[in-house]
Amino acid sequence: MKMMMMTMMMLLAQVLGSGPALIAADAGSSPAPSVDAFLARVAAGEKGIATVRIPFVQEKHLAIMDDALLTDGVIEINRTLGAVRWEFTGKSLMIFGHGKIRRWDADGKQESVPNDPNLKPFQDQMQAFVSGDWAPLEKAFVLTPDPTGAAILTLTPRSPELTKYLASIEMRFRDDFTAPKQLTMVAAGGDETIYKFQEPQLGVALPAARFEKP
Amino acid sequence: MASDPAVLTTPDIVRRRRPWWWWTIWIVVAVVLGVTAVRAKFTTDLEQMLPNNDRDLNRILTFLHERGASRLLAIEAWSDGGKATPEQVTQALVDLGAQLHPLGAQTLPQPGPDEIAKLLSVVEDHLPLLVDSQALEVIHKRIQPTELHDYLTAMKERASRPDDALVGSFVRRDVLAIGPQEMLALQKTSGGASFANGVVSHPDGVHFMLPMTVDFDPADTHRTFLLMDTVWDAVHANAQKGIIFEPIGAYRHFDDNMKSLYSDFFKTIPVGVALIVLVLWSLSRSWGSVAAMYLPALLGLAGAVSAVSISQGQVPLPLIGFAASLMGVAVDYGIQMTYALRSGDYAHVRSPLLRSFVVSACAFGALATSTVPALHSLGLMVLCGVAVAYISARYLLPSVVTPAHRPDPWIHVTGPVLRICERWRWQCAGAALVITLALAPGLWHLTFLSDIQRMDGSKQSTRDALDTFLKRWGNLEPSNFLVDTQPNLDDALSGIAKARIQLGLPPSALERALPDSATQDAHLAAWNAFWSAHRAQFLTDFATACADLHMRPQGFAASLEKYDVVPTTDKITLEDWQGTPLQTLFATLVLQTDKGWQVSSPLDIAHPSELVPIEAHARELSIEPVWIASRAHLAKRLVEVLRSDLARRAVAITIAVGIAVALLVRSPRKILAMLLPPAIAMLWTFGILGMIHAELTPFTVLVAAFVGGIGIDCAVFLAQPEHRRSLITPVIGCIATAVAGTAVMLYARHPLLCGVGGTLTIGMISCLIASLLLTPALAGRDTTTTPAP
Repeated sequence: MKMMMMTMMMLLAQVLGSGPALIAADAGSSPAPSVDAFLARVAAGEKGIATVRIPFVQEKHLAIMDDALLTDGVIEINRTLGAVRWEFTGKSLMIFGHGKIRRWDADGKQESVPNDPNLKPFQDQMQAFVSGDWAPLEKAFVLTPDPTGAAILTLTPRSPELTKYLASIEMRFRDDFTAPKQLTMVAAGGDETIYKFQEPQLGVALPAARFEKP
Repeated sequence: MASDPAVLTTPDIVRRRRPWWWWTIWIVVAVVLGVTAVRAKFTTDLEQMLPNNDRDLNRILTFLHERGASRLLAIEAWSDGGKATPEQVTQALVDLGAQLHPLGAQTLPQPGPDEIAKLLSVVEDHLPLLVDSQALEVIHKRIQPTELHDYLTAMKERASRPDDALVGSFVRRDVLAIGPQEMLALQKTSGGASFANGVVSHPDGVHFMLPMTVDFDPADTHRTFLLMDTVWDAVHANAQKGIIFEPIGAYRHFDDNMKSLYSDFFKTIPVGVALIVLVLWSLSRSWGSVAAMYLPALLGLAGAVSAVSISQGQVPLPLIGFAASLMGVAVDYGIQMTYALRSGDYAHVRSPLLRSFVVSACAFGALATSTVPALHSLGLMVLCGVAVAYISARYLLPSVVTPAHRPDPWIHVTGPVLRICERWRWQCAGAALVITLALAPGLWHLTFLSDIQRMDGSKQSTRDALDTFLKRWGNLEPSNFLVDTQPNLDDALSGIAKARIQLGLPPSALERALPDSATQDAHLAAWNAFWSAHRAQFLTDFATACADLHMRPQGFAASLEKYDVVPTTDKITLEDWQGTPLQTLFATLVLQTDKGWQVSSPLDIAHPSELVPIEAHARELSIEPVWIASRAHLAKRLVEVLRSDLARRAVAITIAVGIAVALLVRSPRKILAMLLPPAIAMLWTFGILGMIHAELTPFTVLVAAFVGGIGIDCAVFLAQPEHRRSLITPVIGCIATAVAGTAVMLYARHPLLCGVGGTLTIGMISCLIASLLLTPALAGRDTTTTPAP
């Protein structure tokens, strides 16, 4: 379960971190770009973007629930500090900084993440993320740009075992590639977790204190 | 002596010029022996020295050898009073792992996401075959209406968390979490724990461990030293940062033992050598003579090593530990011959020297017939060593020692001692009898040390660290197994499972994950009976709880379909676990050997003492062909085999020596004079050891053979009344040098070395006293001179 959570968070962080890069990239892309070209745009645009703040809404559509579950949240990234703040409003908060992850519950009570070395790989991946490295994702997933040239990248697990739990992840960008628009994670069996992103705020003031505690 | 026409004086011999070829032969022999000894391949492989004709011992050795056991090193770490965070502690372990990698230590492979997913998948696909009656009881409690409602409430809450990406989907396939529960049971029994980057975290959240496999044997001392030195450097460096490292495993014990032995050797050998040289110089007052006294011993040592090297290809290093004892026997020849040559008369020592050699050769020749390779090698080594020493003392020394014609420098001490012993010889014999009676009860207090760990020279801190580790983590690696070998894998699994039930032991990961065919059938029958009885009610209660919690029962269709009677299903096999974390575990537990399928099921034992009742129970129930393989049992059995073989060899040695002495002397009185003193000395030695409650080891018993050898030498020389006055000083000199060499070993820290030193020292002194007290009475006194007043 932690593995799934790690994958998803790494992916989201990667996508959101790519937003500023995509804004800076040339939007006039040709249809069906190669993965390398797609990622090259991301890499080229990462320079000079120090902070970003992106609000989102998470929708969980589970076959076992009568209703969809909606949660607001916001992701804040400070590349200079190498820190990420990931908050599900009123539910939970996760902060990655100083090379480690800390987690708080809805009541602001810190949970025992620091003692759990299971999250070490995730820490490494988050570290890689703030340095803008897509390699871990490419290792775990096959990245397929939309054949029609739409701003969509689909990720499918390389491992057949992982496929039994995760069918695919679809990353949809705004038509002009200026920012991520939606991320849809489809579990085996059809359950969906959808992140709908709002307009990213670039260069916002994100002081170090934002990445210390709730 | 001059009146005896048979006696040749030293000047006559020395003055005779030796031809060039005579010297050439000796030089060539010395060079060949020296080069062969230096070039000999020394080995620390103890297995080569162990007996291979004992079924019990042999099968444990083969079993452990096939598994390449004892190649694990673990570093436990924690923060010293909270001075470091858990992240810093784990990072320090990861850094150490990287540092040790080039030295041959590898962190354990960590199960990847695919392997864990495959594991869960295999468990889920085989639930009816894996779930046992205990698990069904847990399920039964969970599906009671109230419990089911509470369970689903908690599950819904968990699935609703925005940061949870799996539970909501996963529970559709197994809402009662039967698969994860089975995985948890497997994880518990397979030693699983939180594991990341090679570091295992303890549930207490404070202690961490870096388990590593090492690609060389701990007995490879050079590499073990390099590895452990790096570990100790890290221990000291991290202590500065508030992180405590505690290395655990065989490599630390070997490091401790070998460093302790080296330290003891460096501490005791120079002192011993200095004392011996002092004694010898005091005896001869000439450095040249001191060197000459050691010449036969050095050649003998080279001959001994060469003989083992040529006959067996390599020399077991631990045998060299007996070199001091061999030197003690061999140097006697040099002392006797050099002393005689210096005094200008050596003819009278030729006969006792020959007798002494023949007796030693018979004794160690009998030892060489041992079926235990270690004892065979030792016997062969000493036999060849004393042969070379005798030949060089007898034929080389007369050509290199210059007569001095000086008075005996010890005569003021040895003379009165001899006079007392000869004059009051029957009183002395009576004193020997009194001492014997006083010490004999000690024999009833003798005990044989069977716990091989107590022969271990590890530091107390190492043992304490291991005890604490075992209490906290359990075994680093299983050391005790139930083993069964059958032509058919299912029969072997079945045998193990039945034995476990008979012994009242809980199933291990092996029995849980790979039940034998009959057990799988039983599990399936129990599963079907359970759902036949409870399915209808469960479905009703489940639908009610879902409605109450605003969940959709149809979302759980896959689960509900699974919780039903399964008429038939394919059996779970070893191949099904390929690609899961259990594959590595099973690779060591299920082996296809030339005798069939060997299945070994680990016994979860924290302390060796817990095995004792299990072994007793197994003997009582007669669980054969299943047997218990245990390191503790190996050690115990090894001691038993050695003890038994030594007892047989002792009889053979006694007979061989008795016959040799009888043939050489042919006088009942002299035979008794030569054999009784060493026998009495042995009795005194073991009587004293019994009285001081010193437990015997195979090593102390073995050195007793040397005590007997030197004791007989002593008696052989003193059993000649007509030459006793000229032999008493070198005899006492021989014993004095032996005691000087062995008494310093009492200061050794290693228990084996200390025990050997103690036994030898007590034995040597006993030999001298027994010979002095008894030989004049038994062999008679010198009638050619007037007794002292």
